[in-house]
Amino acid sequence: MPYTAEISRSNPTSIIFLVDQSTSMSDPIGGEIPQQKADVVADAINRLLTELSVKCAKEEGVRDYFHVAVIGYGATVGSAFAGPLAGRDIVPLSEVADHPARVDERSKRVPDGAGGLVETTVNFPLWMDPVASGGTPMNRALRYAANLVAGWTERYPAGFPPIVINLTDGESTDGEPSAAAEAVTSHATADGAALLFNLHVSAAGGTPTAFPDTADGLPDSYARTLFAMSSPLPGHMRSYAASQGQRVSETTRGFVYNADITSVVQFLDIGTRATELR
Amino acid sequence: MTTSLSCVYVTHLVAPKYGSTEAECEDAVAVLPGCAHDDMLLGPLAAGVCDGATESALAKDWARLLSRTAAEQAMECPELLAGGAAFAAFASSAVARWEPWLAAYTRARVADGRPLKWYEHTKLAEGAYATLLTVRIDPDPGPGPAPDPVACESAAWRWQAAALGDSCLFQLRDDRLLQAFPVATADAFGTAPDLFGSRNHDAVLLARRARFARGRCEPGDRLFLMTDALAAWFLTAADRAGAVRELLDFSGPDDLGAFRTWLDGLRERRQLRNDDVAVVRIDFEGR
Repeated sequence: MPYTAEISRSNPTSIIFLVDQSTSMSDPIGGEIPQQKADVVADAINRLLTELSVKCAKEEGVRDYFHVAVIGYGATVGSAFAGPLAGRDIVPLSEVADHPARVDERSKRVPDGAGGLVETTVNFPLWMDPVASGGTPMNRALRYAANLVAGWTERYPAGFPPIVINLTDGESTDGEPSAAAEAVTSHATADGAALLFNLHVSAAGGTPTAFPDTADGLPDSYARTLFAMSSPLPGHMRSYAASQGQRVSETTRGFVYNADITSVVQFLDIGTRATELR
Repeated sequence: MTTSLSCVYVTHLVAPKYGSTEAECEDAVAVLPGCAHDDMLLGPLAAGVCDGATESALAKDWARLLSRTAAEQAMECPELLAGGAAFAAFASSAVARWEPWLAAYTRARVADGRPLKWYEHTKLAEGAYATLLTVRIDPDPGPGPAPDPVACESAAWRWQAAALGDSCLFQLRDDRLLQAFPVATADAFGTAPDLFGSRNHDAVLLARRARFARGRCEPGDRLFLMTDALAAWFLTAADRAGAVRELLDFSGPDDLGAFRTWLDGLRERRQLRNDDVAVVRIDFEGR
């Protein structure tokens, strides 16, 4: 189970985002800047899809190294795409990139190439809007994802296994989610079991944590459950996380507490990384 | 008394990864003077080899521009291959060529009814990236008094090289590896080599991170310049003499089809990473 399969257009992998859209997501997240949890996860999804699209962008379009689903769970369980992709499950990344619901403009400070920063306007595409209504059927959402994973692993039995990224405030209302999480990771390709990563957004406060190797210090039982459900990071992802300054060990898991999870897509290896000399 | 005539033949082959088209290949090679693989070269020559980074857009165009600029400037100014200010000046001039090229490309896309998409704007703001290996080869006038025209028919050559990243030069003598530059072991290859960024205006940093080497070739020697995937295969080959023999099967552009078939065989056996491949072979004849 080495997680070394090439990710390419002929051998793509899938990324399935699960987005908690329950009523509790209208609560504020802990931290210095009050933000609604639903805004935080919608922002994370939109940035993850942007990161993925830009990572795979070439001049002739975005290459389909990844196929992507965004599944919301709250009042219902199903596609959370807005705009032209509404209602779709797994979509090739090129279609995702070419069909955001809308593209906003935001200002951003970027390197000027000579050691300084310059203010510029950047495109900020949006595929989903914040939603907060209904319960938190995390079990049903994980079973939905497990079904998509099963179909994918059957289609690409030798490929890099699917990655499921669950963004939630952790309070499942349809039962303890561990068994459903195991249903996701019980599906495997020849390259390894499907991976399940979790982003926990919480009002409980405490220290933001990325890719911990133990549940010690996590503030509540929801966080500890989500940590336990999360897959250990495969070796090459650990190496990359370490090169980015993250503290990692053999037991580091794909779990983030009130912290940025967008770096996880940068861990995915599609070839030579475009990084500036330092 | 004259020494025996020594001359050089150069051939180069570039092949895309399996599953990609030739137009998508992001490895690039430039050799000067531009001549056929069976032309006998007696004067100086230069080559630039670049491997465009998968994760950047327009990497193939930057790889082509950078390899050509490197070969041109190595012909005009061999001092750049010694590093320092001359290399920094070359780095500045290469980067200076990118923005006008990109502006023309952007205009052409608009004129063609295909303006840049949002993700291209984002990606191109980050710049394009490539490794760089540049080599210049000169006839060696040898020791003693200033050579007369006859004595210039040299029996030896000098090479100088500069590298940023993991495109490699190998010098072979009697088909045995004499020198490997800048990577000596297969373990040193990764997915994050040093890269020459099209928007990196810190020429001093580029010069500081580049590596430089030189050597001397005798008749019968060969130099191979290779991008990382093939270089890693070569360095890991259990039977390196056998690996050399396999490489020597491909001596000209007519061999490209057979070369690609051979590469695909190595890929299927998982001996070669599925990546674009560029190789330049320089044969020193005269023995």
